[in-house]
Amino acid sequence: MSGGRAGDRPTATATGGAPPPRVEIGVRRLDDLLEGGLPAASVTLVYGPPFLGKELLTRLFLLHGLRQGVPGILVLTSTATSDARQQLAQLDPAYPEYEREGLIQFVDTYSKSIGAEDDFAQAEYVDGPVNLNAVSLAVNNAQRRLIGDHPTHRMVYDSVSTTITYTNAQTTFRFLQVLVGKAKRAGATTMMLLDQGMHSDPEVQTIKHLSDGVIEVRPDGPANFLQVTGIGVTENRGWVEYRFGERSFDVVGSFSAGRIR
Amino acid sequence: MSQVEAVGVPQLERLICPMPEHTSLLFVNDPGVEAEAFLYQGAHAHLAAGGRVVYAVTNRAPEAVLHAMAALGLDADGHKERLAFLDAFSAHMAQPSNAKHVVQNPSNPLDFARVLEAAAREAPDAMLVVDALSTLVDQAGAERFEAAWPRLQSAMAKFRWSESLFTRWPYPSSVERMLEDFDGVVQLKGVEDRITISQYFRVERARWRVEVDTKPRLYRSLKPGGVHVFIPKIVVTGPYNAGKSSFVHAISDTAVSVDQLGTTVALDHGRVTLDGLTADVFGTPGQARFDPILRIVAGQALGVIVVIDSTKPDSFARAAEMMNLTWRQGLPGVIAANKQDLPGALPPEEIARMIPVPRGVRIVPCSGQDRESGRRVLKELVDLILAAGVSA
Repeated sequence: MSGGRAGDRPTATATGGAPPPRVEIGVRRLDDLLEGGLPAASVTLVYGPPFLGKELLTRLFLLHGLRQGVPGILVLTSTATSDARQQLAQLDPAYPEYEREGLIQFVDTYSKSIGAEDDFAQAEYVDGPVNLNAVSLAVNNAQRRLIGDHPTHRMVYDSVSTTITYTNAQTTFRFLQVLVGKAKRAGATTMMLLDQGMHSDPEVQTIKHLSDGVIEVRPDGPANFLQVTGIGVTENRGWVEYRFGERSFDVVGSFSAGRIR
Repeated sequence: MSQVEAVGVPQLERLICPMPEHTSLLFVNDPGVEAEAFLYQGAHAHLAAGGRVVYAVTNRAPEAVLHAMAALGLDADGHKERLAFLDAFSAHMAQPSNAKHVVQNPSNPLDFARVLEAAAREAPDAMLVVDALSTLVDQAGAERFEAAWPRLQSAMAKFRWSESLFTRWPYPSSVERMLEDFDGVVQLKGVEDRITISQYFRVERARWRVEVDTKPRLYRSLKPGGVHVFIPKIVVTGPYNAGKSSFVHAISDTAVSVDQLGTTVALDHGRVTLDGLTADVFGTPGQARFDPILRIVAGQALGVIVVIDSTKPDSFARAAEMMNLTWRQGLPGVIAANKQDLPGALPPEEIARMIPVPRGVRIVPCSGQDRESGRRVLKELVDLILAAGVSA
């Protein structure tokens, strides 16, 4: 870990007692809503219709960790590594430096399936989204490169929807059950993306069952709203308005945090 | 009736070969454990021996199998006329296939069985590879797969023999019970410490053998090189100037030493590849002032070689002292009676009378600078380690 960076250390709250182990997402008011961030080594499902900033939120989560010297793994099932790297560099000009420091690893099940000539040293390329053992092995290899020097890391699985599409909900559940269990043991705080509208309600419930909580997004007229359930947040704060742009994601609606920051 | 003599992984062949014809062999792997290499090497060994192979692939394109085999250093291209793919993947991805046999509806295991039967009619003398059976369960669902299993099993039995792979996701117990139908089962499992840090295989069942060695063997899949049984630590120790560094360098494919004016002051490290097996060898300094680190270096070793200078009986007491520092009860060990090529070297029998040799420890003569004699010592130790079971 680079010197002077805070890492994924617990954030203190004003409620006293032992600080809850929380990992900041990097979106300030969302972290407030989450009472400091995501629980360390938890799994959060980011769920909602497409084009509402879910993917952006997961990238900001990764980048916030990288800035603190916390490494990240991005598992890609429908995007090539080269495109994801480009997107990360657009979001944070310092991103190439994080690559040079070896803080980011990719598991790419997409590039080979479309015959792309993607070749990045910090990426594990899997020969198709159905070869789930190979995905599991690739994640393990990526973690092997990180955990020697870092007690924790962040992981994003983008997306569960693609895995369900190429297999089925039951197979995906079995696969993720193992992957998520291993990720927790390895000290990863994980976000998984699931698109609304592609899956039946029972399928969605099946995947939700694997998670410690859900950040759900929905549009309402011209505005977008999100709601947090689980993830150690005890008080239901309802739907809260948020806005997102090409590089920013901000919670703008009001909510009662029950504490002063 | 001819038998199956090779499965492509030498250290596994010793445990299960020869196999009778029509044997069904199943590799069962934990998720995240390298497994396909066993199938690649099995297929390649049969092709290289002039046999035919039907390779059924369910979770990636046949070309991906060829690429992966090439990465292991296995040339499948040279045997293409005897290698027929059965593609149960491409149709699922709505992609065209150039395979000889194509399953149009991979989510229907009966369709898979039908294509398998047709392939067996064409090449009943072929070895069948099913990579991976668990994907068929995934695609079909457990109930449909179970209903189709008798026919699938019957189709597989029409080949000369079969090797299949099954990734052990958390399936219902009814699926697990079907694994009982295989004649032989090799478990491929991971050793976890936060992540999977190493992996081992263990023959769980080989019905054609009266006795089965079920001890685990750590392995690595090398690219190129394929599956190698892996012994992570063999310690080479012995008195000062007994020839330890020369020994480590002579037996190793690659080796480095941390020394000062030719005397080891920290460690020698070498990597040895021998008969489908890879071992990391660590040589210790011999001077008494380094004794505090001996126990540390010897910790978690799977075997110890004590190198002694056969021409210097006055150093044998020191050798015994170092043996006590590095040995623990039950640890496989060998004494390398070095410098046998020099005048005045004592023969092993005489050395045995002068050193208190623990039970089960053999004294093997060698000339440390001669690679072959050094490797005979190593082989002696490796056999002891494998007989004891590589600790997993």
